[in-house]
Parts: sequence; structure tokens; C-alpha cells
Amino acid sequence: MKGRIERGAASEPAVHPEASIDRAIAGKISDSERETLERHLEVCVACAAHVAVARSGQAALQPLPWDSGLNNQAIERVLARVERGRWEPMRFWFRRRWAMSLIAVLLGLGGAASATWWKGRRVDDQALFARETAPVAARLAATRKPAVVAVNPLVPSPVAESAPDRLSFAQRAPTSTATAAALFEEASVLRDRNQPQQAIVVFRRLQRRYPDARETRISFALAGKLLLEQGRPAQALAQFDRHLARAGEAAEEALAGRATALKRMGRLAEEEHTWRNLLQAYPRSVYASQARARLVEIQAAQESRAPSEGAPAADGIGRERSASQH
Amino acid sequence: MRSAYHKADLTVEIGTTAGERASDPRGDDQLTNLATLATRTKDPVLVRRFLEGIAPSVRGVCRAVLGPRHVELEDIIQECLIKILRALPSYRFEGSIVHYTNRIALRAAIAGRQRGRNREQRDRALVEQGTGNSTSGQDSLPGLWFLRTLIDELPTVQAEVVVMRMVLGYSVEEIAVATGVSVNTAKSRLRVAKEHLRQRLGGEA
Repeated sequence: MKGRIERGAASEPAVHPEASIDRAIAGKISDSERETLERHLEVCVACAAHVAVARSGQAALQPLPWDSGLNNQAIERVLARVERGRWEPMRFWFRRRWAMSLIAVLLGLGGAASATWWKGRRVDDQALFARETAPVAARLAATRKPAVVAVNPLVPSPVAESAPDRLSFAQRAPTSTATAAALFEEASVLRDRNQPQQAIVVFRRLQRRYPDARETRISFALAGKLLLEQGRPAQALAQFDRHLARAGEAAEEALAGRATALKRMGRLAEEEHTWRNLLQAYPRSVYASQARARLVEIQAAQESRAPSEGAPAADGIGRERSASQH
Repeated sequence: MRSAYHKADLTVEIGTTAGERASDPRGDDQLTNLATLATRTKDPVLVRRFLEGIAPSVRGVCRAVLGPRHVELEDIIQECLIKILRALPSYRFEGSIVHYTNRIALRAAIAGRQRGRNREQRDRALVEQGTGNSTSGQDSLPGLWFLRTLIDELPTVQAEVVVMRMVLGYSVEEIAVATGVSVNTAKSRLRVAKEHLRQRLGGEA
């Protein structure tokens, strides 16, 4: 270090008398030490600058008449922020986990409600899809402003492919510049307003435009729930599978939704496997009792069917399966 | 440049340094007690009293580093106070509480200054061209204005040591405690910073 200092100017001292500078600034320096320091300052521009800067620094640290008011103002603002809960550092991941937990709870409540409403009901997916997309396409064609609603399902499905009007309209529709968060918010609002079809459309737009966004990952679970409510288990299953494939935060809800979708489609073996997966991964899940009850039912159905294996199914589940195969 | 400093400056009565003020045992003890109570109880009254105790020091540090007319001075002061509140649970009663809070403020101020470095350089160029526009870093204390340019050029740890030593008046030992390094490391950082300062002044002479 000494050599490094002396490279710049051989006449500069390598050692700076910091203690003497302190005493000089404090006015507690003896005459002999003062003379020594002054000789040092003659050759050491850095220490001379140190003394000068210390002088200015002390002046800068002195309180000004208006400081008190400004300090009070700053303290008020800081306290207001602290009272809003910012006392402790709140990391992003914590906020995200909190938000995801809330979404999971909402999904759970929605799932329970929809399961009750939806029990025993089967709706023709294709007919419903065509019925609900027709007014949207007609309205947009009339207004000639296709940017208002861009209906292009992200997930290719047999149903979507069978709706050429919708696809051709979507191809004409220009894309908007909404962010992933904005689309997610828009879909959530539509969902809250009990407009599930529009919400699904926006969720799919989000999935198509921002495949890697965090909002997209969650949207698979939410769209799956909505599709289940709409009686479209095949599309719901695809959504739940995509959520699970991306290790989404609502995996518990997605597993329950997947099992429900499989039940609706009569795929009992896969349903049983899914319920078991759910119980294994989330033994304390709110769906645990439902899963166990359903496993008992599946077991009973399989046992009753075993003696007459090979014969046409006579129970309800068998009918469901045979219906789904058509 | 060299003649602008030394000798005459030594004759100025500086008074009590910031380091000495910070090491005032009674004031520091009171602030330490307030900090402890405020951290444990989160009582708004105690928090306010603690903030009132450190706010002048924090403002002084920020003003020295950023300049009195820095556009973000008030925002950075608030940021400092919040950071200090958040960091209080981590205070281990090693060294003065004022040194602890000053260091947090200093780091935040240096970071704030570095964030606005491009704007600072642009404004300084305007002044050098003689437009007379005020800059965020320039004030009536030319030594400090020069120091701020030095802060922009030095690594953060060295800039921190320079401000503690030259502006806040900390001794090398106090710097070592405040920054959590050995005395030799603190000395080394100061020596390197002074070498940079000497080269900078030599270049301008």
C-alpha cells in the first residue's frame, strides 16, 4: 500500500496523521504538534483537503432553522407508512404467498359451492359453447370494433376447433397491449360479476399472450374451475393439468378439480388416482373427506362390477363411462 | 487547488465533531433505551420520540452526502428513517446507536446519490458551462461539493469511510466499529480513499 501511495508523487507521505488532524479540528492540538501537522499539510494535499472538507462538513451538519419543520413532516410520513404495516420488512415472496393462499381459499369456497350446484348435471359442452359465443361475435361484428373483446381460446380443444366463426373472428381481432396483471384483474372482475364465459375468454387471452407470467399459472386453476362450473369437464381438465404441470400454487385445488372433471367424464381409474394423489400430498386438505368418500364409492362400484366383469355396466358410474365414450 | 486548503483552515474553530456528539454518553443511552423500547413495544409515541432524536443527525448526513438542494433529499431522508426502523431489531448494542443509524443513513444516501449520478453529472456540466443553474450537489461549501464528486468515484465502502471520517468526524476506531471491520481494514480503506483524493487533486492542480 505504501508503494502504491508513493507511485503518484514521491514527495507525498505514506502515513497520514489522522490523530493529529482530529485534535486540530477539535482545537485541542499542542503548538509543536500543530507545526508538525502544518508541515505535513504542506506536502499532503489529501490531508489538507480532509481538513477543509471537515470544516465544510461540520457546517453542513449544523441544523438549519427550517429543519425542525421538515423533520416533523418526514416523521409524520414515516409513521403513517409504519402504521400501514411497513414496520417489518415485507418481502415480495411473502406477499405473493399470502395472495396465493387467499386465492386458494377462494378457489376452495368456489369449488364447494359449485360442486353442490353442479351435482348430477351434465351439459353438452359444444352446444353451450356455441350458444354463449354467438352473441359476443354478433355484437362485435355489429360494432366493427373487434379490439373490444378478442376471443381466441388459447388451448386448442375439439370444441374450439368446431367453432369456426369464433376462430375466424379472433384472427381478425387486433391484440391489445394489456399487461398480464391487467388481464388477470379483468378476468377476476368478470368472475366476480358472475360472467364466467367472459372471464374464461380473458383468462385464455392471458394464457396465450403471457405464457410464462405468474398470473397465467394461476389462471389455469381459475379457468378450470369456471369451465367445470360451465359443465365443460374436458376443457377444465386440460386447464387443471396445465396448472399442475407448472407446479402452480393452487395445486390442491387443481387436484380436486381434476378429480371432479374426471368423475364427470367417467374416467374412474384416473379419478381414483387423482384423489389418492391429493390425499398423499395434502392429507389435511379441505377436500380430504370428499376424496375419501369418493374413493369408497369408487371401490364399491368396482367391487360390484367385478363379478359381472365383461358384462355391460349396470350402475350409474358405468353409464357415465359409457356416455363419455360416445 | 492545494493552496485553497490547509493552514488557514486549521485556525477555524470547528467545535464539537459529529463523532463526539454521537458518543455523548447520556444522549446515546437515552436513544438506545428509546430504540429498545420502540422496537419491543412498537408504541407510536416511543417510535416518534426515537425518530425525533435521530432525525437531525440523519438529515445532516443526507444533506452532507446529497447536497442541500438535491431533488430527492426529503424522499431519501424518509427512506433512511424507515430503513432505520426496520434495522433496529438487528442492533446488537455494539457501538453507539447514533453511529448505527448514521451508517444506515449514509448507505442510503450514497445509494441515492449513485442512483442519480447521471442527472448529477448532467447538471454539473451545465454549471461548468456557466449557465448558473443550481445543481443538486452544489452549495456554498465547495469542499463538500468536491467530496460528493469523490463519493461518486469511489467504491461504496471507501465512500462510506471518507464521509464518516471527513464529514462526520469519526475516528478510525469509530469507523471500524460502525462498519464492523477491523481497525486495520478501516485504516486501509481510508488510506486508499485519500490516495484517490490526492490523485484527483493533483490532476486538478
